[in-house]
Amino acid sequence: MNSIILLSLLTVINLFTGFSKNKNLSYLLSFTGIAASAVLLGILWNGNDATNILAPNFVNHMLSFDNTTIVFGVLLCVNASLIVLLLHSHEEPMDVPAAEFLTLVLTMLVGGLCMVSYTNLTMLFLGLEILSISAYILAGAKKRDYRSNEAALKYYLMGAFTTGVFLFGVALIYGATGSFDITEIAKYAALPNPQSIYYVGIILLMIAFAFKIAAAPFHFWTPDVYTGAPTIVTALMSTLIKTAAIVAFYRLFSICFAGAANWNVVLMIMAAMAMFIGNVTAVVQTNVKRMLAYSSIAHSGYLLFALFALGNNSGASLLVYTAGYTFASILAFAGIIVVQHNTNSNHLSAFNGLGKRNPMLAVCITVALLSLAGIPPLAGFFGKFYIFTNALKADYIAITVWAVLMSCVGVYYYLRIVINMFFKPAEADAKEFILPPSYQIVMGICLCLVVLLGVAPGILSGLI
Amino acid sequence: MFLLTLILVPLVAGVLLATLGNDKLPSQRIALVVSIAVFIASLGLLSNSGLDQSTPLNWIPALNIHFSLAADGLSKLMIVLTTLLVPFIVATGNSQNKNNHVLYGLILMMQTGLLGVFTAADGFLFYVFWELALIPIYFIAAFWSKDQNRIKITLKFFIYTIFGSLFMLVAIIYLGLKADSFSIEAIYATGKALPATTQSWVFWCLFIAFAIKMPIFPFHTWQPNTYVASSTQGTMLLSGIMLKMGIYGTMRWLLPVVPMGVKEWQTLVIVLCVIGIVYTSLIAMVQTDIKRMTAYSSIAHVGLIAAGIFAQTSEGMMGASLQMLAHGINVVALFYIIALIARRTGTRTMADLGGIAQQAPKFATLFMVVMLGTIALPLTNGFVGEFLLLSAVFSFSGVAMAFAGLTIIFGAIYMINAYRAVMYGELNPTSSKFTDLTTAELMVLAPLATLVIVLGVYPSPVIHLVEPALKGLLGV
Repeated sequence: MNSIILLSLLTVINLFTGFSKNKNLSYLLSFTGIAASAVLLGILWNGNDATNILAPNFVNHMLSFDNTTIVFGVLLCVNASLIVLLLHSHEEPMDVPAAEFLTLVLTMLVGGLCMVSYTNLTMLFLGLEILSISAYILAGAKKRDYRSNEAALKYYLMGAFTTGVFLFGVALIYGATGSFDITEIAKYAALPNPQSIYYVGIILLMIAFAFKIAAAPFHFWTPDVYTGAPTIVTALMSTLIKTAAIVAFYRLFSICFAGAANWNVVLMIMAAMAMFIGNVTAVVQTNVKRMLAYSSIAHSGYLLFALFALGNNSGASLLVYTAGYTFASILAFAGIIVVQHNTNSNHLSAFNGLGKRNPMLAVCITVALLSLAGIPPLAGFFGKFYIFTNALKADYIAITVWAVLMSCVGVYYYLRIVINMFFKPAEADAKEFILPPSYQIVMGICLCLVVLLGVAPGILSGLI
Repeated sequence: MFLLTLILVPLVAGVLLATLGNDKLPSQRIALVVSIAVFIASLGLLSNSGLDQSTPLNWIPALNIHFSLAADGLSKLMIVLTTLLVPFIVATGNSQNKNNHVLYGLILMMQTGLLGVFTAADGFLFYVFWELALIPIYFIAAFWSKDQNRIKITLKFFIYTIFGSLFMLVAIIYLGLKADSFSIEAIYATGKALPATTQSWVFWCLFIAFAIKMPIFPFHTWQPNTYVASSTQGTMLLSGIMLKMGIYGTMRWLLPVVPMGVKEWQTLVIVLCVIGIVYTSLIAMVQTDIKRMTAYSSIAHVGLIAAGIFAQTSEGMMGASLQMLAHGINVVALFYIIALIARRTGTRTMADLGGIAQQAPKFATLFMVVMLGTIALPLTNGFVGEFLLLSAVFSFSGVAMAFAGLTIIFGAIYMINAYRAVMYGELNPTSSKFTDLTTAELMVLAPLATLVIVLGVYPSPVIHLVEPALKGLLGV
């Protein structure tokens, strides 16, 4: 709870740093704030005493900080801090001042933390909205850019509509169970013959979550918004928002609806569709950001595995997958930002000859893409491995084979970028790319983490 | 710990060379020194034919995955084959290429992947090494090739193999979960106990991965183009060592794991192998490009090895082991010879060549020895293995053996024909400036040719080395 309070206060203070001439002040403040909140989360480790409802881990039946929450919360903090670091030497022209931009990142983090720690649906709703509204604004951070505006508007309209659906779902569940508290709802779910409005409520919640994690068939906003938004915001959307939403989704299903398995078929179909649409459509994209948008849809499909194949290891598999995905994505997006800045293009051909112009950058992007494609021994592979393991444990053989086929398609389009970087000649007047210092730091950290989590995934999966 | 060190040394050296090296460094020499050192060290394994193990490290405790390595006779044979061939492959390259440090770094990294595959005693570890070998070879084959279509061809190769190995991953996960451990003993025990229908689909998941890697007809379509388009070193790695991953995988991770599944599909697989042998031999006969011809001949040879293995007799397994060694040596020597010819004359088309024997007698002699080894003449290394393989196929079915035996006749036809076209006849203008082997080239070719003869005359150390291991695999 302290971390959320700290971050909330910081958002207000941070706005005022905008008056200061010193730009670094707000970066410093945000970064240390995020780090401090991660520490504040960390000290709650193993402190979840279920008998003592007044312990700091339980907050008025609204939030609860168990170990799963803490790990994901810290992951979100690391995610946000890496983005803040990237922002520091970000050269993409933005119409939003740095202090405001950072404030919005912080509010997103606050929303995300609420979403991974809620025990009450109202809290989930608050978290979701804090997160989403910040994201709507950030998507339109390039005020004078037509595409960025389009992205913000599209995201906002669709998002607002989904919020309605979500609230309707919550209302129906409240109608059936008489409570917003997820433990109370879980008790109702265990009863025989629940009312039909309860099922309708679950379906509506699922739709809302599918929208937030960009899973098919509620993914239509993703390509346009991901492409139109400033790339750094796209990085935030595909990592922080996705992680927060899938964890919230997982929390709801694993705690509340673990009794009845009716939704499994629905989730499975959604996963299968997301993997198919995402991977197959990504193959024909020539804009790299758009390609990654579709790949992000595909990854949502893999993430949904953790939900229908619920088991003891689901939380761990989700953690390994999201961590691997987050670091690889940030690495890839950081690379894209550098390329975009130097060539003014997101087209595949902008990557031509990158292996010669900046070999280290090309290697970083390659590692990121291979990890996203799930090639061992990188983090992304272990994510897939855990998820497939859990699915096979629950005897979901057909969908696992389907997922395997789809990851094969994935290998194809990720490799296309690699091919462009190493095997296609650069344009004649190409100059060498220069990586700003903070990019070097972030990419170095991400590279190490992607390899480390690949070589020793046990350090994460052993946590929860 | 010895095995672990043996495997990790090339990886560490490779990573250091690739990341810290530059064009001024004599990368080829460094790689050569490392690979020769590894080879000499690996000979220490041959002191006995028993099982050498490294202490298993607990890698992923939640899923009971261990980093455990073990080497029995068969593994040792494959290890020595790998460590033996890598120095030759390194020596093949040009010492002045740009980005040489990356190339040789990748070759060393790939060696780790290969050695890992041959020693993994944990299903999960096996898979990781299996893929670890793929990434370097993709770049080696694609980046250092001069072929116009290299991008398309190597991408096809990459996707094709990934496709197969992902199915293998599903099978391994499935078996590992059933066994509650990924260790090879546990997987053997669980696999055997599975009901027949389950074994059947597990068999296919595993078989596809191995069949693509070898490759067995009809999964071979990636192979000829990849061999032809790759750089010489890429082709050598692919044909000399990498395809043995498929054969080794079949022997270690397929036959003992799902015996009932193998029994059920044995006939189909052997028929596929025999079709592949005849079909690719016929295609090889009409090739004009000598490299492409060798690529097709390689499919025929591997087809025979696979057929021998699936006959599931001790002769078949022994023949396969001997033939893996022989084929590795012969094919690397052959591709070296082809690259040598192409470098000097600028062509690989047989019709444009001729009369080289007059120009280069030393070269002609060594090429002759290697060629005879490839067509399995008695007293060369190819003979014993091929003979045992054919007798194994015969014990399965006389008809299959009759067709599989065609490989020897066809092989003799196209190999001798190629030799005649390239080496004899009138001196062609393209080959008139052909100079004989330099000392450095002799240093590569002569040891390989010597091995062709030595292993042909005296194969019994190899037989003694692998015999106990093969008995274990067949469950005799």
